[in-house]
Amino acid sequence: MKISTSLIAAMALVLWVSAEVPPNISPGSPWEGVSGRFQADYDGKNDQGLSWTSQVSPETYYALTWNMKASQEELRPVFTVNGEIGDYGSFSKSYPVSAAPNVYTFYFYSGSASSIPFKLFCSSSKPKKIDLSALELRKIEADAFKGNLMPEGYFHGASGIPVMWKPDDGTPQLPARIEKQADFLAGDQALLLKIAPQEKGVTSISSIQLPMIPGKRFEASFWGKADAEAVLALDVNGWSMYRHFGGHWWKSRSVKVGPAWAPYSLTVDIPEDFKAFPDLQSRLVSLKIRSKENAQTAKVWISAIRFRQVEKAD
Amino acid sequence: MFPIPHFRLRLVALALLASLPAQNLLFNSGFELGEAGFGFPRYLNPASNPGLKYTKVIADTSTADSGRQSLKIPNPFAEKGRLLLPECPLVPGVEYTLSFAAKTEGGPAAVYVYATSVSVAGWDVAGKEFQLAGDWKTYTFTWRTKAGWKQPFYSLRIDYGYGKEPKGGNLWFDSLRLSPSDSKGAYQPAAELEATTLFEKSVLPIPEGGTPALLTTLAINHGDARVEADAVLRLVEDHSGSQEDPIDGASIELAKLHLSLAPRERRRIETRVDLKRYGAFRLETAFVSPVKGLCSPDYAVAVWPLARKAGLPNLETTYVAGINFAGGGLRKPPSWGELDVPAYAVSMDQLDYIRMYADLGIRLFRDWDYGTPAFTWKDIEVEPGKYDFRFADKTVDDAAKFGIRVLPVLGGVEFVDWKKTGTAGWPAWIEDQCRVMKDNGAWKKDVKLPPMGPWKNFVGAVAAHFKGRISHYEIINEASGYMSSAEYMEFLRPAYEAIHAADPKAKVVGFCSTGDKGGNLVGFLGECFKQGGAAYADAVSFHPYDSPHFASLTAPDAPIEGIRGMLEKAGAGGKALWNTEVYYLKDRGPGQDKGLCLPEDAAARFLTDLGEGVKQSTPLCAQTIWKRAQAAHFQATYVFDVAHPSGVFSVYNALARFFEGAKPVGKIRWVPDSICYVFEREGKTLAAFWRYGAAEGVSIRLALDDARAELYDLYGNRLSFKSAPFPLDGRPFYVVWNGGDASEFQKILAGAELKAANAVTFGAARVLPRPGGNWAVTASVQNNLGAPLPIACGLRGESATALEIAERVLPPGAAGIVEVPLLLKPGAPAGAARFMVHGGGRIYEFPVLLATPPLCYAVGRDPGPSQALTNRARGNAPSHRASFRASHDGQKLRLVIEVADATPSGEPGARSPWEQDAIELFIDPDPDYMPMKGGGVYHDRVARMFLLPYAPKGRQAVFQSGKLSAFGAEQVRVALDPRPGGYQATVTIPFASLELGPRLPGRLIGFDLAVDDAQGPAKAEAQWMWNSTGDAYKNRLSFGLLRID
Repeated sequence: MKISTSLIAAMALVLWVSAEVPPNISPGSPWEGVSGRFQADYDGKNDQGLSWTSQVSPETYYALTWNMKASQEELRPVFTVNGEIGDYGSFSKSYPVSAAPNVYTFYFYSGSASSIPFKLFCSSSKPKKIDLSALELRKIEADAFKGNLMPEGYFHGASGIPVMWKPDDGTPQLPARIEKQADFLAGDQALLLKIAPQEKGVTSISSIQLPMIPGKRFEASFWGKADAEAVLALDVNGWSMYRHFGGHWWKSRSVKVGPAWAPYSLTVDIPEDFKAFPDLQSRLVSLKIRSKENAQTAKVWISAIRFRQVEKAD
Repeated sequence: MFPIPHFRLRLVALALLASLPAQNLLFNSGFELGEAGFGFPRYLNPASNPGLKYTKVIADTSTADSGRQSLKIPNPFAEKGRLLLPECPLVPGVEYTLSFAAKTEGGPAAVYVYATSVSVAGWDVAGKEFQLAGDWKTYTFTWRTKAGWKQPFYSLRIDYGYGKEPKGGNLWFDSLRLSPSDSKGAYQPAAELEATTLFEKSVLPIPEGGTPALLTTLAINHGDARVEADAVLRLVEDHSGSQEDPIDGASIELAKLHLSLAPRERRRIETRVDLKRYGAFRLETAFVSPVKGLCSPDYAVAVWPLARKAGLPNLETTYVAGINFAGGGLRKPPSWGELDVPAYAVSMDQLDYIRMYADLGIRLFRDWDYGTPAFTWKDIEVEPGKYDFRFADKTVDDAAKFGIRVLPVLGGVEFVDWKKTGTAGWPAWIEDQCRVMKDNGAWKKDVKLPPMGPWKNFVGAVAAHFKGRISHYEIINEASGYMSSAEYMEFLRPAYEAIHAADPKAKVVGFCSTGDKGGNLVGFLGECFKQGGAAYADAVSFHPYDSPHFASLTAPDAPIEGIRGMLEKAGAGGKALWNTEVYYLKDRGPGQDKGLCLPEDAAARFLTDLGEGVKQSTPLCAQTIWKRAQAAHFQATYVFDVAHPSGVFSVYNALARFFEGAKPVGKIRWVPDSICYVFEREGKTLAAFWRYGAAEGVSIRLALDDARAELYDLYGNRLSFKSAPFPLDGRPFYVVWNGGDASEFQKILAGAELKAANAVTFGAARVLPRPGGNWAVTASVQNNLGAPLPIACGLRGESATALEIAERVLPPGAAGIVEVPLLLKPGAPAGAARFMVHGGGRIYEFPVLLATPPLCYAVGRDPGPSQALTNRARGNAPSHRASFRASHDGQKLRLVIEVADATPSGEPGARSPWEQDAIELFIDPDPDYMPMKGGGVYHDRVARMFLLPYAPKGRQAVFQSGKLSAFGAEQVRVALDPRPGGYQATVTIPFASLELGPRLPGRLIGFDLAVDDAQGPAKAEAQWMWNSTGDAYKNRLSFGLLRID
């Protein structure tokens, strides 16, 4: 699968150190692998996948990335990475699957673990051929937190659907696509979020888990424009990807997106003390963009999604 | 045929004419409308015409080759002169013929016909001599315009009195015809119907309330049938000053005429109109459709009738309007090879010509340019101790008649050996006593410095002769370009002593330091002051070419403050400053002529100098006062026709009216980019303000009303505050305060309300490499609001898009540089893009042209790969080749340049460095620097170096260092090694000499190389370049890059 220059450039938004290819990946049938490239002819039921154990440094942030495309698009999150991190327990995070090549990212904090077992597999969904390659594990340095931790925030390399986002709050399928756009300040594409009345709940998408540093200030932001008045909420959500304990830490801001591109942001101070919000021990949060109850139908284009550490004003 | 009132329509129309089997391109070619459309400057010969009377041409009905009359040029004084034809756009590479009928009285008369087009690429000139004799005869001049020539306009003229001894007598001309040579048929006029309307005078004094003016329409029907035609007379405000292309303001319809013309009938119609507005105007005649005809405009300025003041101004106490104007119009031989005897170049009686300057308010002539200076040593002291002051006397006396002072420039540039022939401009009797200095001063000219005794004697003799008549003397023009400070001080000290001894009341204006051509204006003065120079001048003169206006890279108040600071340090604080020259008030384009000026630029510089407390200001060349009515695109000083003043004339009139003798009392800056100076004059407080920056759609409102203040435009037209807000641009407004307390006025001015249509203005952008193989565009953006403005910037285009948004907060009114990381699209050519700025709630888009990212050479500790120069900047098939390698040792940059060139150019001779075998280095230590205006314009840290392998030892490296004072022969090491088949150059440049700062790894340096090849002694015609394609000499953004690893 060809990696375009733009994908590489997009990945350069986060400061990486050299990546490590996970060793000894065991592809379970129907997966087959040759020279770091894996393929599966998924039959819709078999949950065999790619398994391996990575050695990690304790108390370190990591990103696991891979390139993937499938013969069949899935707007529900069906491609799963699961594993277990000693201090926190097991995790299972799923992604929608695009029919076009995309880079996928999974962040985690190692806690006191020195090795972590991983498995990548496709959950119950339509049969499809899956191509996966460039599986890499990278440490995240301190400088990266002041850059943009949200991969593909500008959708330079995204194709088809925004795979770092999944439907949430009762939205059955990912209500978003990648669409060409010609009038934003950066990039040729944007995320198009279609707000529509939902049978249950609201139109909502949430991002992958993003790393954060307790006690620091972070800013979540995006630029948006809409074809009709659209009131959205931007959330920073501390709900654990492991097992939830204690209080639920989350912050939200309501924004009215108008017909011209404009920026919207939410600044949060991450608590340092985990007593009230034990979920934050995972050092991960996610972003959510959702409509309000009884929202009118609208199209909202979104780009420049950022999550980054910012300075606290004196 | 069709009416062609406007320049651009004229261009199209005449081009169309040229493409048809056209008969004639010249308006009024048979002079049936008199002299309309033509110009008749003369050289008045004082020997044969001691009264310097201008003999007018005459429409002579007693003789004609065609039609009813011809043009008679009387030449009673056997003078030289010109018949200037209206310029015509012609097609390149086409053969044209100018034919004319002529006759003479009084014997044969030689004339020379020229067809000339001037552009930045050079000149296309053709000409031929004719001997006119006897009765009517037709003469033809045929030439071919240059193929591929980009300047369409050709100026044609017939110079009479041609040759060494012009003949007197009368000449007649008729039946002029200009057409492509393949045009058939006999002479005929350009159109069946021709008309023009003329002002009574070219300078119209308008007292308060206005004045009636007489307009005369001349029309002729050349055809065989009666014509019924309606014509409209329009008065168009002409804001172009002396620039070549029109800038029109309001157009007022003055009258409608109905013409009923029998076959061959000529009609004259007089119309009276009330003129109430000041300014420069173009009077247009246009036939109303469906009638078609050919019309020509006339030009005039309307001015306030200034009261002539008795006596001469006191230049120590009274700020006046001044100009560079030498000799009262005197031209001495050779004057571009046109004169054998001195003569005055005028279009009217010579004294009337001087009077015109007084009418516009000029009260100070700096005896320099647009004429031959009258105070040159060789013309005055023809033998040791023998002085001929005739021309100098006349210059001073004529000016004094009209209340105008003269500032001589003693020494001038007479010491410069321009052509490296071994002679300079000194008296012949002193040449052998001069010291010869080669490649001297900042501009590396050969100079000859005379001994001090004779110099002091000459200066003293001048001061003694003009005691009481000349109050100030300037010593040497732009010495900083040709001399060291020590050499200049050798001349200044004795000159000061001699002048004060001869005339204790006279003042010495010293130094004349220039910022032109990279000159270090402030630096030279500092060196002179360190040598005690401040004690040898009563005033300090400077030429701020590097800071002509507030939108320049250096604002004009900066060097003025710098000079004052240095004078303070030298214990001479408070000494007067004089700005004696800055011809180019807009950023200089390639080959810009010093005669081009917009009215508002003249006003802005006058007001800036006055507002900054400069004692006197003579920034412009007198050429700017005049409109080149027949030859707007002929940018050369010697095509003089001073019959029609330009808008600069009317602006100076208003400036003299309001500001002569004013004193500065306040200075206010407004956002965006606007300046307001406050003055006091004769008990009144007044202000002048304008905007100088690039922000568009700016308006101003002041809390003033017509009862408390008078508001005027730059020409002196009264405006009403009821019409506020006013658009604020480069045209100054003047306010006279009548409301009492001056401090209240200043408070009101400080509280001016300015609004900009756009929150941001975009300056310039360029693409630069960044670490990791990445790229970014750096751009300059300005905040036009009076509050901090957060902006977010991006870019989109065919070849690149922003990788992410760049954000910053711009302080009020401030510009800043933004760097946007780029995603280059592989395979896409460089091209159009939009730089986008979100600010103040909206997105602004600015078109940019992204150049192909520059070549970037990574300079490591070891020599990198050889880089060939592959851009053919000049020459079709250069036979030479060149390449270079670079390395560094942490302290110095080392370049090794190999040139394969089998044709050594030999001794330089009179050739400039780039006109012989040479390596040219271009260095920009600040490639990220992105000013709001003129991104490619050199800033003062751009340096150049020429390596001349065949020049004599000691002259093989020529430096143009700008403000990088250490970038020179002392620090930069050069080894040139000519060898069979070419030569090698090794250049070692300390990083410290480029002032790069301490952090070198990753540092970018703008860099380019050119290698010139001359075949033997000829001038070089071939050039290879590395990154630039040929404009590196003026465009720093065309340089490539070195990256120090």
